Amino acid sequence: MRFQAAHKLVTYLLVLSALAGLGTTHALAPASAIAFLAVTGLSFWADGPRWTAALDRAAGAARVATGALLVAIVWRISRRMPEADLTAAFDLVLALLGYKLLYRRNHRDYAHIYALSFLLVVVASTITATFLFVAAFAVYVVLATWALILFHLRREMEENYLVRHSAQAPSQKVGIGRILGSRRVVGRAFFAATFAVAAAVFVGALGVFAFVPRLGAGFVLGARAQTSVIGLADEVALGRYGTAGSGRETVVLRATLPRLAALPDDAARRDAAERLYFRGAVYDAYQGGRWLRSRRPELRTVLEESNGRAFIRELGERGALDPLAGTDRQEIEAVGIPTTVLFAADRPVAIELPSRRLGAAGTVGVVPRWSGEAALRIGGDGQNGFGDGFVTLANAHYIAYSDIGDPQRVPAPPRDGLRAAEPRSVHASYSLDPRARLDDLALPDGLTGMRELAVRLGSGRDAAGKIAAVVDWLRAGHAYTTRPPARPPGVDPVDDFLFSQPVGHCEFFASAAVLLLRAAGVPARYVTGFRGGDWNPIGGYVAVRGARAHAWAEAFVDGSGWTRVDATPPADAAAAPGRLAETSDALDFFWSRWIVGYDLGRQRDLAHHAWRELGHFGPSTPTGQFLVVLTAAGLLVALGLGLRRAGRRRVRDVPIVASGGLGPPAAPRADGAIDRLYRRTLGRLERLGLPRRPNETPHEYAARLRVGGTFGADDAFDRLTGRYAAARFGGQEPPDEAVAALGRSVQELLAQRPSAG
Amino acid sequence: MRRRLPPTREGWWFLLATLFVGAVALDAGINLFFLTFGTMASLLLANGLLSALGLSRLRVRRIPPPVVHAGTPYLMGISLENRKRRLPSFSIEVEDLVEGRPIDKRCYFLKLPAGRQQETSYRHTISRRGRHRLTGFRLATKFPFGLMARTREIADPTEIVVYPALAALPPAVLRGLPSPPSPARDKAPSRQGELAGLRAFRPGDDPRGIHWRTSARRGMLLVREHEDDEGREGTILFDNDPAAGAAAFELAVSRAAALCVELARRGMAVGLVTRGGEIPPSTGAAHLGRLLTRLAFVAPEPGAPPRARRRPIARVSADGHVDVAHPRAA
Repeated sequence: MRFQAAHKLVTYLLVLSALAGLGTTHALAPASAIAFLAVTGLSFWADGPRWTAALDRAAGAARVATGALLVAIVWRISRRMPEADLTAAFDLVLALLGYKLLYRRNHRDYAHIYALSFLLVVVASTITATFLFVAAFAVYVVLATWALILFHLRREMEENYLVRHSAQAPSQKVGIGRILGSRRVVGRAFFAATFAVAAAVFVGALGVFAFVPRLGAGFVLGARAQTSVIGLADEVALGRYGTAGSGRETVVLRATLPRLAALPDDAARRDAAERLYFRGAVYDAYQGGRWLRSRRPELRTVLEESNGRAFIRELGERGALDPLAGTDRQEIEAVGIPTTVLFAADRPVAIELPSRRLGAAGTVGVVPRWSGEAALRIGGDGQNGFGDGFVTLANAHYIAYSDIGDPQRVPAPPRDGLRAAEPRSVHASYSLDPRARLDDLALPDGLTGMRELAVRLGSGRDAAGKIAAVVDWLRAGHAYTTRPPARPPGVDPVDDFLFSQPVGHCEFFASAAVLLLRAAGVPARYVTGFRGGDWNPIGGYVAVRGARAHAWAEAFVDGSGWTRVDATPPADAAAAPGRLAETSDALDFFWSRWIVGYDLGRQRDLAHHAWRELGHFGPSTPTGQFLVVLTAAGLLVALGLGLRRAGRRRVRDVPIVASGGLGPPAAPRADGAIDRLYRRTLGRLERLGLPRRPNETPHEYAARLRVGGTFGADDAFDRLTGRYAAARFGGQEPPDEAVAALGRSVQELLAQRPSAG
Repeated sequence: MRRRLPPTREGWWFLLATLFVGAVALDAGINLFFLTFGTMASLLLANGLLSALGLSRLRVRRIPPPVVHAGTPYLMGISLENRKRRLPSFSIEVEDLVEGRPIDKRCYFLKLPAGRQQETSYRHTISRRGRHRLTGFRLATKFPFGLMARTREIADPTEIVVYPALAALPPAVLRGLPSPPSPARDKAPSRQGELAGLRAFRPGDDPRGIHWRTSARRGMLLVREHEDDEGREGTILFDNDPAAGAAAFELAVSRAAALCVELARRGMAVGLVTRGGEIPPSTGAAHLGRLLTRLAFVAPEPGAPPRARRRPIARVSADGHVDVAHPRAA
């Protein structure tokens, strides 16, 4: 293969692999991608002499067009400030890359192309959320290795000294075109060998990835933060937001529950996964169709740190002696939702951050919010969590402990309208702070019909009976739809849902349940989260998709505490994901857990596991003894090789002693005055655009400048060249005074020529 | 054998970028930055290892030119052999070292396949006559990524005798020298004229001039010496008087060398007499080499002025003045 063709092909493949990596982020606009591909295709085919000439003629127009495009993109970005518009930023880089591809002429243009493509990959690596990126990245690494090698060779060819010498004439540079067209420089063997190099580089990258300890977050730059997501924000407007996350089929959360995994078969696991509720944000105040947090101090979650875990309770609850007894450990990856509030099955009792458990420098901590919520916060210390300055951490990884009951015995929805939770072992007593009770009974003004209805439904019943009556009434007369009708303006949406248009989705059912229960005298609050999940048999976890977003109510029952009340009637069961989707999601899970979410805790677990495995081969076992001997022998061999190498180097480093004879006079000092003056002058001439070519002797260089009219004959530079050559290769070091005088002359000479001649 | 591995300018930028990405990865805990950091660090490591591999098992040697005069460019051949069995070496620079410092010219080998040898040359000029010592080679490569320039110095001392510069002789001097022989005389240049005596045979002498009878009697080869009408043999008397200044002395040496070369070119047997030594007249390239070597190392010497056994064809004083035996008008 011709060198030039190989270099070009590899460069284009590199750019395409960077584009593929970018494509995994969903931040790349399709129109931009298509436009860029069109420019890329044009630049690939249109690089013959005729096309090049035509493009060069149109260079001015192309520059103007590119400049205008860049200005437009920058303007677009500035309009969105301070919010980062990554799509526009990518467009900016793609526009520059397209221009460079069209006008690639020498190795510098290729260097710009590589730098821009690398920028794309680096930025993509910070926002991608799919395992497909690693495939694109692996391809990029291989191609980058090839491209860098070919680029280096090309640069050496273009800049260096492929010179044809002749005894009769000055040396001539060999035409670059001839070498670039050569088929002998790179071939199949070259690509095979460099592929091995690329593979080694990738393995090295994985090694660094696996073993460099995840020391901390936010020493200087702070941890990565993203804005919150609709539906899980501090406010819920009924009917406006129905889903969480960006796509209904997107997996937003994955949970590994050992208790589910221990069930006898996948059918049981699937069934149990369907029954799970992942609780997230909780709202206590209702105002004109909006659920808000009143943020009253009495509703503040109480967090107690112990053994690296944050134990959660609410005011009035008293913790048990062993709070984790009877709870289920869940390892949760919040992949698709930047979590402000920590999601966990049911009401979590404790939260644990794996890396923090080790006392690492990580500054992300669990902080309290309201109504039993906990959140992640950079710099959170469990005490200083007040205010709204929460950041959300994408791809958060944490461990939660909750009581999910017996997964095989908990009735599945729709019969689970009321989960009659028995007193849990995690809290010794359940009582509600009187001030919090008032908050959770608060109702907006008006809503007379609803109040009358609540009184009628709750008449003569205890709290549990009232809950059952409300749920039954709602389910009996209201229908579930994901496309609720438009509510008339000026009418409370819950009132409209209850009495005028009895169709709605979970938000309406949950809101209605909360308000009816409050009106009936049962403290209640509005909860959002996810209902059910899909058991993934390949990865062994529960995958929760965006479509599972749900809202329900929590009611306080004396003696039982806060109890989940799901008044929403059953919807059609979501279609189970196919085998391909499960496999793809399992790969994403692997990616999320072992690549994106690989943290100090995981490193510790891996080390722990490895140590445990090695423990099977203890020094007392024959295998262990063999391993010890093998390791010791390896160390000895390495030590011996190192010593031998060092010894050999010492022997070779003996300086060469000059042989007898007349010998030359003392060589000029390496830092002699004339040497320094000459090199300084070369530097100044280079800055003036008159560099000395690698294939020129000092005299040839001086002659070229003289012929070119830059300097005259026998001027200061000519004399300097003569003096330098005499000192450097004749041993005639001039006195310092002469060098100083020559230096002044050269300075005057250069001062007269401020720019390249 | 010294080895160095300094980063190139691009390498420094790359190193800084690597450290930056690594710092961001550590600080912000972005895992994919660790992957990028790992890739960049591995590229640096691969650069170091592969450049060492590229420079391993290379044998380099010089192919010096037959004659080197001070102040005159010459081509020094460089031969590089890749003694690796399978792996080629790419992008190798070879520099000659003078007293441990590289000469200003580099030789570049783009690709040297396994088991192959390539030659190139560099043009160079040495200003000073005498012994010029090349101490070794510096092999360098930035292959494969151009991020680091690995160098390896190999000791290979070589001495070059640099003959004096050939100064231009004044026209009057050139006119006073014997003319080149005519083609007819060229056939037997040493057998013309009156027999002057016998002398020991020297390499380059015409075997037809051997006086066999006397040689057999004395047990050594003797050749006839003729007293040529045109003076086909001449001795240059160079007075290396220390009284002269250094520059003038160098000019004198250069003129003496130029006379040697010119007379040899005109087919004469040339001899040289200086303070402290004499080289009898003879012909041939080897003899000319002996004359020039003597002049390459000649230094001012105190003592009596040199005396020739015969009348010298030219006399060069230490200040560079040249007198010829038979000056002719223009």
